[in-house]
Amino acid sequence: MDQPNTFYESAEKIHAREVDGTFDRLRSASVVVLLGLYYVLPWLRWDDRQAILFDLPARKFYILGLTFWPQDFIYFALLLIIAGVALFFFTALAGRLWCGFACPQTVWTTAFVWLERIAEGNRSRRIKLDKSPWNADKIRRKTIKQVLWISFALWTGYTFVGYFTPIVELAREIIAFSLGPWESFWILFYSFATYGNAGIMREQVCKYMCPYARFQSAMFDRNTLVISYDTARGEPRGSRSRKLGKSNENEHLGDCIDCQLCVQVCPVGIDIREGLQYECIACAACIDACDSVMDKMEYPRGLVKYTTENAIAGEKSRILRPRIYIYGTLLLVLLIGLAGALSSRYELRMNVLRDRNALYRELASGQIENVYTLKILNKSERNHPLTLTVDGLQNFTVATDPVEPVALAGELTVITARIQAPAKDNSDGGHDIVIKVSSESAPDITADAESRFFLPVN
Amino acid sequence: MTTGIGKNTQGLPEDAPRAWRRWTRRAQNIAAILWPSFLAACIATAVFFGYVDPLDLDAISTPMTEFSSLTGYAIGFFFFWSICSLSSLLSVFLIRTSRRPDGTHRTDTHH
Repeated sequence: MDQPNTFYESAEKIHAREVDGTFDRLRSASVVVLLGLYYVLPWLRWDDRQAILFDLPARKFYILGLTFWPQDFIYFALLLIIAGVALFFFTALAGRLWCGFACPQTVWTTAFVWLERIAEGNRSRRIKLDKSPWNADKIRRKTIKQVLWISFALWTGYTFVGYFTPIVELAREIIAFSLGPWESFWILFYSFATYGNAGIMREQVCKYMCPYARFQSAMFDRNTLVISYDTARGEPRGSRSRKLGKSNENEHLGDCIDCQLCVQVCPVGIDIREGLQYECIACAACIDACDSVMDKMEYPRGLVKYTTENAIAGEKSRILRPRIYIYGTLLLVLLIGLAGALSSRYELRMNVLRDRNALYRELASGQIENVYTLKILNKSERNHPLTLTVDGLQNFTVATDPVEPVALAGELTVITARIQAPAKDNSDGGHDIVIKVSSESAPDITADAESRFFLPVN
Repeated sequence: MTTGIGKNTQGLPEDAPRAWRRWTRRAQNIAAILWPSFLAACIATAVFFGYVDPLDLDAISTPMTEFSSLTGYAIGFFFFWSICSLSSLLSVFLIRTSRRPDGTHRTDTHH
């Protein structure tokens, strides 16, 4: 039902209960590592520049020792394909590992909930605070939370733009109030998106906006590890009476004591005992919660656990199955391919354009001259003085403009080459030639291109 | 398989299992229009500017004005985003106004 001025049908916010356990520690570690990388990487230096910088105006991407050009788009495409195959691999193996542990939505939401906890306390205090009327304490706590959130979001936006504009320069510009309009805009844009996604919308993004949440079930099969409640063991659920202590034998109850902890810790607000649901982001908080209760009750762990549909149904379950091998092999091949392509990347690339005005020129000396424009891209970060040779011609000479050509580091250098060959030593008409440049400082660094050389037909 | 969507959450105790927020249809529409088009626009921008330098575009398009490459990238991104949003808008409109299997219109009643 649409209500005016609100985007929520029910304004009740999910306050997930804090939980401790193996999976929660794994997620915390993942959050610290991933956010650590995000916030630290732009500050690292490599030689005289930022180690990772996507320089849009210069159209060059620097990643550690590598410089990528628009011509290297293929690597980016390859990387995206690898990411896609990896998603298939991990989803087929163990469901939504990505969602629960690595997705930026989860990672930043976790960080925002940590900040919320600092300002407002644990779950029950937060629920109480939300219900309480506005008073000094509530205003103070909510203000602290907003200050923490907004500062964190702004720092996130600043870091994001720091990947595109040298981050130290960016800091100086902010301090001097001389930030460019686009830089200011993108910092605010990204900050706002972070605040909105991780602070306000949270699990709603996964439920209503994420396409992966909807199609991931297509990558599942009956041997995929998913988080499941063991209905046969748990039901009939029920709380234990104090009289009977921890025993459940007389009451004919299952192992589930219906403590609701698995529901309270769930960040998307579902009850895992109702089965696999598309809202579940596989954060495994319910496993941690249930295991801690099972420990207290001295029941075996695993009433809620990672298992397969086949295992639940009592059938034979095979986690390492053809699908996993095929995805895994494909992923491995692509990764090796990318590594190979990156390590054997050409430092020099050359395009050759023939002079369009004249096929050839006859010089007074009896030489025949053809003129070429060489466009040489030096992807490395060192200058390469060039030597030019030609395959397919006899007794040729080459005159270049400039006389001593140098392919400048990270630039496109244009060189005019006049190739001259005596008519008497070469047959008439057109010749297929290969023009080759090599670096004088590192002779194994070369580039070549095919072209045509014309002699008069007598 | 149950989802719990659409269950009434009013009047439940404090620790009710389904005390969760649910977006209105309007909020869902806005998200379904802006978000997929944002993703598509990111891809379009990356591919397009992978091959085209915005300064080259500036040189051949608007002879009277000059803009920086950052402005060029931003114009490109928002251009793609708006075109993609238009496409999403039409998709959402067509889905929301279609007839249900039982013959009623989706716009007739709220779910």
